[in-house]
Amino acid sequence: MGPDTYAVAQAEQLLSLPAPPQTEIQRELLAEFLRNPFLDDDIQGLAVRTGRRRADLLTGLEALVEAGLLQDAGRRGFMLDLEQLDPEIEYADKMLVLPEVGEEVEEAKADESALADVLPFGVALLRPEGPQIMANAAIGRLLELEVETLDAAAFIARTGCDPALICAGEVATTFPLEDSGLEVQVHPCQYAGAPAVLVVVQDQSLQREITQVHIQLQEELFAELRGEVAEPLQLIRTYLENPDVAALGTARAAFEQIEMFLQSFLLQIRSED
Amino acid sequence: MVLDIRNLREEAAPVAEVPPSGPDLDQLLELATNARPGEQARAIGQLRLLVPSATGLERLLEIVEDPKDGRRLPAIQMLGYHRPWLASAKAMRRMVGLTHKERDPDLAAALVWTLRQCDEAAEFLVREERAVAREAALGTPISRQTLAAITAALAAGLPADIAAVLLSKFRGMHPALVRYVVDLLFELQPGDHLLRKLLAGLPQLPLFELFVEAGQTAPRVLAEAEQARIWQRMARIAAQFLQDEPSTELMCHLLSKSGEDESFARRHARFLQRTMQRTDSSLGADLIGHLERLTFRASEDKVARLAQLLVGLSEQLDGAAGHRAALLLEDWKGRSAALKLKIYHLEQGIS
Repeated sequence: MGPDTYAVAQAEQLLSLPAPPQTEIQRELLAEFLRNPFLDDDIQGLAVRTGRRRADLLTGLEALVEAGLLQDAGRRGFMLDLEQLDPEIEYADKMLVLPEVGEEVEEAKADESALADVLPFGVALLRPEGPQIMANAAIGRLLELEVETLDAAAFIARTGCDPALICAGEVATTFPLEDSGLEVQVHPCQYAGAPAVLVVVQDQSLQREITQVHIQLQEELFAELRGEVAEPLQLIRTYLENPDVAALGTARAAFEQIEMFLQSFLLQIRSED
Repeated sequence: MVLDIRNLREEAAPVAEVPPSGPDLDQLLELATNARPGEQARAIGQLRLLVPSATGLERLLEIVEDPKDGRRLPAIQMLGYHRPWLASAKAMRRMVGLTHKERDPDLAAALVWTLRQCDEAAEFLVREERAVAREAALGTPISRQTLAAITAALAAGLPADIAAVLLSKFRGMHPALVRYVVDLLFELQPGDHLLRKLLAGLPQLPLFELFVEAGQTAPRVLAEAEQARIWQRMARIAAQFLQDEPSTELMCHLLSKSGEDESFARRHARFLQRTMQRTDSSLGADLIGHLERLTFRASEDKVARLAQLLVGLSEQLDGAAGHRAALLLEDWKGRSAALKLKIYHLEQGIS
């Protein structure tokens, strides 16, 4: 155990915790106190430390005090209750599993981040009220925004789509973004027990270009079919309907024209002889 | 003749019980570092109760200064818990020096924790180690001495969560400091996005007075055109933000001032109208209550001015707040025929 792992290691050794599995907030609070057993922050300090609202922390703190894990530290502060611990009792079966703060969690986050960054499309997870949960580098590049600053407000300003409305309506939407060739998909979802929106941005410019070429080719083919097949067929039909009046030469020429056209597409069936 | 009672006194004097000698500071730190869980807990409990003397503080500092001592972390944490050394400039310099020198992120973060709520904590906001910068952000107080370091660190690009810690502290800033922050931002010239984020964290009332009430002109002589341009940019962003996300405090101030001061209401009519239109409907009940208080036995002119704002606001409200706004308008209509006509025109968009 190196000195850098002191806090977590101490937390595990010091405080095998006599409590059932805690909620995320309680776990987070406890992790802060275990990292520094001398910590005596008040609720405001803890709110800033954990990045959570005071109201959200209140229940968690009450539960921890009730469970005998925290105690009043005076001046509205809280501190770890060390007297409640009985070293003779094995708490292994009830032990609160603390995340390995310095290693596994960071490693997992790094892995997730690396994975997200190699995706060939942009992806971001946003809370409807604004904050970003995650975003990969591609979405920043595609939307021409800084990834760190991509939140609901920036997304609305860039695309005009409000994630809060998507969340409220619970219906996914897909729309192209101006003439940039980008396609934006916004899906409502749940993340960590709270509503969120998954944004996927794909560069469809190549696909769009291919579709355009395809449409153009099709239109040219139809135009050729009209001139090279449909019109000669009409001449042949006129001859067959009234062979006495219509000119055979014209019908033959029309037939040859169709035959040449089919030949140019290698579609002519060879005669058996 | 006087009776000699000195012997009696000596005999009567109670024998002071010598308390059993417990482990000393060094032993407790040793137990807090290496002992079994139960003993560790007891040791830390005792270290919390043990208020170190001057000699004890010196001993703790010696331990912290010794890079080979394995008890440095509990010693630092104890120094952070018992902080009579804050009164000594020499001890403070020593702690700051140690923090600057410390390369281990956990120990450095613990050292920064010992400096919490001291201006010196701001020196560590730009440390590369995330844990150290985070602890510095948590411990840095908002004061005239730290604001330059805070704004510089934010402009340099802190990680989002650490920046959020600092920005959350901005909201509780004393209004008198807002002008100083604006001056710092003026010097730093951050980009639009960052500027908006920083201004959004500041108390809105002083911002309004500085950028909107002052007529969007720099209150000092801006000789350079470039400086004037920067100031205008800041004013534009601040005004936009205030219109987009007005706080209850700002809204109440605007309503009060509009009611009291006709020229204020006229000067900021457009700003007020836009702000009302974008007011978060969750603030509606508070604002209606404020309007009720403002117009209690108020003059007809004042009610007419506030009616213009309430009509705009009531369009944003629904549910109970919307119903209450409609009732208040009806109440005002009942005060006089002229007021009734005026409000009717406002509702119809005629005036």
